[in-house]
Amino acid sequence: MIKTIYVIALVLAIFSVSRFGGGPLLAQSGSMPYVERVDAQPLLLITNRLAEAMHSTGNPFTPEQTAALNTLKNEPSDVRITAKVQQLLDPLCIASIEIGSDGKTTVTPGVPAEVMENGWRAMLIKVVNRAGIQSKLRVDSPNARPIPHGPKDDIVNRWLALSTFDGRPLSPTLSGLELEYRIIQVSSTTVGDRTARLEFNAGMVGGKNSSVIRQWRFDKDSDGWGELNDLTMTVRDQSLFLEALGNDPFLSAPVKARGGRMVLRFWGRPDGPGVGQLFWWTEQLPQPDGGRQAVFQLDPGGDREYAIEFSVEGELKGVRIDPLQGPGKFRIDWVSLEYASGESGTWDAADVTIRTVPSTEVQFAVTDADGTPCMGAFEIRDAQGRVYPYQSKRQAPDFFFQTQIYRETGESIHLPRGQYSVKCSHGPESIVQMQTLDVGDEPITLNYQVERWIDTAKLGYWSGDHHIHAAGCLHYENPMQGVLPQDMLRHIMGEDVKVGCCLTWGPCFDFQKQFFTGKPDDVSRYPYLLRYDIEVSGFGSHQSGHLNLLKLRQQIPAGGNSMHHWPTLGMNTLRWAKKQGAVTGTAHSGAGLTRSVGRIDGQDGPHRLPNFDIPAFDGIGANEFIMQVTHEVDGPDGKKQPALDFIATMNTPRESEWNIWYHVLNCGLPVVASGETDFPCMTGERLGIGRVYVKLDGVLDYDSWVEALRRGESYVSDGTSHLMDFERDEDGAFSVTAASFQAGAPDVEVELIVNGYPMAVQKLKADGKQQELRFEIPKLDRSSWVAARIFPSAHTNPISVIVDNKPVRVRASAKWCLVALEQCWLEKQKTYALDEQPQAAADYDHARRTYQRILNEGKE
Amino acid sequence: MKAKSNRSSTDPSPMQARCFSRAVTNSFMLFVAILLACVASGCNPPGSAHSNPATGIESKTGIESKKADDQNPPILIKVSISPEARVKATTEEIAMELHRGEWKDFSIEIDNAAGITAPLVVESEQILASADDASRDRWLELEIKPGGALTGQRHETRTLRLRSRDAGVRAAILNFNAGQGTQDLGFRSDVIVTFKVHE
Repeated sequence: MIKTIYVIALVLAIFSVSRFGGGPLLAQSGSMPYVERVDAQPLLLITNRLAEAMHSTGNPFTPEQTAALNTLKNEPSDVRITAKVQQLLDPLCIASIEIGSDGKTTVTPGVPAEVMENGWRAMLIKVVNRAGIQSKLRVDSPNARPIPHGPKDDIVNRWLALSTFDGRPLSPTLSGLELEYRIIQVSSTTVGDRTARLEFNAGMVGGKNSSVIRQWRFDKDSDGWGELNDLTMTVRDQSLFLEALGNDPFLSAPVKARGGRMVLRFWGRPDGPGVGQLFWWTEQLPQPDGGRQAVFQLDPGGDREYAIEFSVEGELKGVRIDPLQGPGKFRIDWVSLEYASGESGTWDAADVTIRTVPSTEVQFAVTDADGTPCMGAFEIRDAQGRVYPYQSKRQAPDFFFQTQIYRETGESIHLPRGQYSVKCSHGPESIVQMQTLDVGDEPITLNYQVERWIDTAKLGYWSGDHHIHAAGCLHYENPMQGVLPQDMLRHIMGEDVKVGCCLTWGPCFDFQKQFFTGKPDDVSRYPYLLRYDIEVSGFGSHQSGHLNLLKLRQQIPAGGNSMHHWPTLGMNTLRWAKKQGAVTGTAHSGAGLTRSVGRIDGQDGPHRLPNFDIPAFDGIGANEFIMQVTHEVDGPDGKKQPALDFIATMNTPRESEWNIWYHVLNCGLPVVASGETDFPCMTGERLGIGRVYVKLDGVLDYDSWVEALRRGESYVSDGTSHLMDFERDEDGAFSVTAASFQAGAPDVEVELIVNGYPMAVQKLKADGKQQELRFEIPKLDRSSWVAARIFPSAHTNPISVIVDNKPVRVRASAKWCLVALEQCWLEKQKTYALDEQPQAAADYDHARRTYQRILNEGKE
Repeated sequence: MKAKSNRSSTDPSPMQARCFSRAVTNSFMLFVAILLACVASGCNPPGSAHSNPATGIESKTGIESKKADDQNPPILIKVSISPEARVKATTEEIAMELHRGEWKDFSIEIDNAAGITAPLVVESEQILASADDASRDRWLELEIKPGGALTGQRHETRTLRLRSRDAGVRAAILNFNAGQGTQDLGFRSDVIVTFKVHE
């Protein structure tokens, strides 16, 4: 009964006005296989993950579909849940594949896919898995075969691009559940309705019905690839790094298989254009030669999958890849050899309709509030909430892990006809604007003039993010070598971060190091400055706490040209950096400080600031910091200066990062706060989530900016609150110009902090208006530091109030620091190389004596 | 709320002392007491010499690092902790089968590039909230042996023990972290595991 209702509902759904704009169905659409019942628990779990995957790739289910799926949580019947899931998702399927219990597959076409000319569209594939296999679902099409080296009369048929989306949050292989849905992405170069043949295979490697002959992975070693010629090969980070030294570089691997039509696939990136070759040999003809070769075009533009088709007569014995024709580099992440579609009897196919609509050019015209040209951030969605340009297929400077793009006047994108909502912004000092865009057949212009609630640069405060990356983390999977300076510049311009400190770090070091110049990069466009420096992360002293090194003149210490020879003791890194005049600080300070291992007596303040829990020091934030802040080292002129200039803030829990800062300030140790994001490691949403606003008169230049940061002539903020011109007046009162902007304009509290505790509070309406606030407090009877704070969004640097020529000394904090130091030593001693142990012990001893002396001098 | 796995440590609540192992914490608190008493009397605090100043107890928790070999359970999960201390997890392609009500052991292989020494935590919304939890959406019991802090060494292995309340096909999302904010971005810190659970 339920099946009958389902079939009727499905037919009606397909014939209804669909989200694809209606239009006649083709005769080959048939009814897809139906599943009566699967266990509801796993079905709901993987269906919810599917919904998350669709959302994260910019193709969210509609609110109605999402609500319908959510109601299934309360449905007790497995049968009804199974029926409802199929009712909801089958109309979104371009095809279904049924895997019989014998492993044979049957493909049925679904609904047409509507794509934009040269754009991408995500569709679903229904998988009815009676065999319960947990292998990778492969999809191919003769219409998606590569054009280079293809038969001349078949070129016109090769108009389609296909890829399955098997990335997070999905599992890369089938779940084994009898019913699930997978994502396929399609793109077309040709306007109009066309028929594509989709071929599917779901065999397990080496299994009875498998099309996969061999897969090579490089988790531990080269997995059998060797016999190199004119080539060096390094296995690192689960990839093969090849460097060709001569004119005939190749590498080989033995593999046995019966003959037939095969495809060798690999994912990789060459560093230059050209062609590569594939050779193979057989039992019968055991040498590779010109009779058994295939050529492939290199694509130096980025990482991609290479698929080389070839036919083997006889028994295959081995393959050889000639990745280059001369000196150069190539990186390979994985290799797979399989039978071509239709070859092994395990592929099945169906014809589906791809409806390609023409796209229209949309130009941008973007100006700041004062009419000057600027870069804007744009998040573009159609009526179904789908993101444009297609998110998972973006290439730099657009990032696949973001919904927005950055464009300035004169640039354009292409969109199909329709109505779009566009979210326009220019960093947190702007007021987000929503625009509706109606795209027809004629080119149009999207005009965006930024509306600001504040312009801190005009008030003398220049924003910066001292910790952003062009490689690693969310850049990490592919491409490993990261993006380029011009890509990062676009992002700092779009988010209105005036100074972007792009830090080269471990995983991409040898590629990114080329961009270090010791000055702002040439791509910088005033007032937007991009400067490359270093984060010690993934090498050297990283285990005791990462260090951000700004304003370096020399990027790498003597003794090497990479990252393998750096000191393991953070203090030694700082000694080297300060000798050349660098500005030094921690990174993601709260890491390793969020878990506590004990507590000493003390009065915790509001927001647990300060607090007297002793952190575990088991991470890579402001850990060795507790020792470093007690040291002075030689500067470039030989004079002593603090080893560490700043503690990084605004991107880890405030309770952790501000707590250790307060305790250190309470010991009279001069360290300022700076603001960072650590993009795209702590987040990929956007850079500039954590910022430092540096006071600078006149023209912005990097050296002046970073030196003012070092002196603490700045405040930190997430951009939504500002605390400018914090001063102590002649009568002892404190004043600050405060502004905050939040939806609904609630009241926020501006606190005056003395030695870590709020001594006065005033309310500020978060309506974007600047307000002069004045705090009158009783005369301080001992030396103190004073700051202003809007928790958690902004904090000034401290002003010292010296009484009786005595330094700031809070006994309880000195105790905290002493105990914290010991916990840090307990955790970090083992991270220092043997030859640095004596220096480490001496450095920690110095810190102990310093905190001891401060404790003895301190008052409760 | 995600239920947490059975393990020897729990996340700290703000105002309470937390331990990652009883031995270390007791020794640590003793050290704190000695230190503070010492300070009050004006003595030199312990640790001035070039030795582990805290207690003489090894900073490691006694967990021996070893790679999975033929004698260890099959590797189900690989956890990699990046130099930025972001925790990422992947599953290996092995037979995913359990027997209802019976524990089964798998190995977790850990690559700790950051060298952090926080506890490895696994969370899942599919873990049973109690012994008599009858919810359809929760079916799993999970333990990590040994529990507690990572050693800080580059490679180590833990045993993941799983037990299912139900028979049939069951799926779970396991999320790995080493403390607040250490999950890798883009869903990389969690894995979906789907088991055929036999009677």
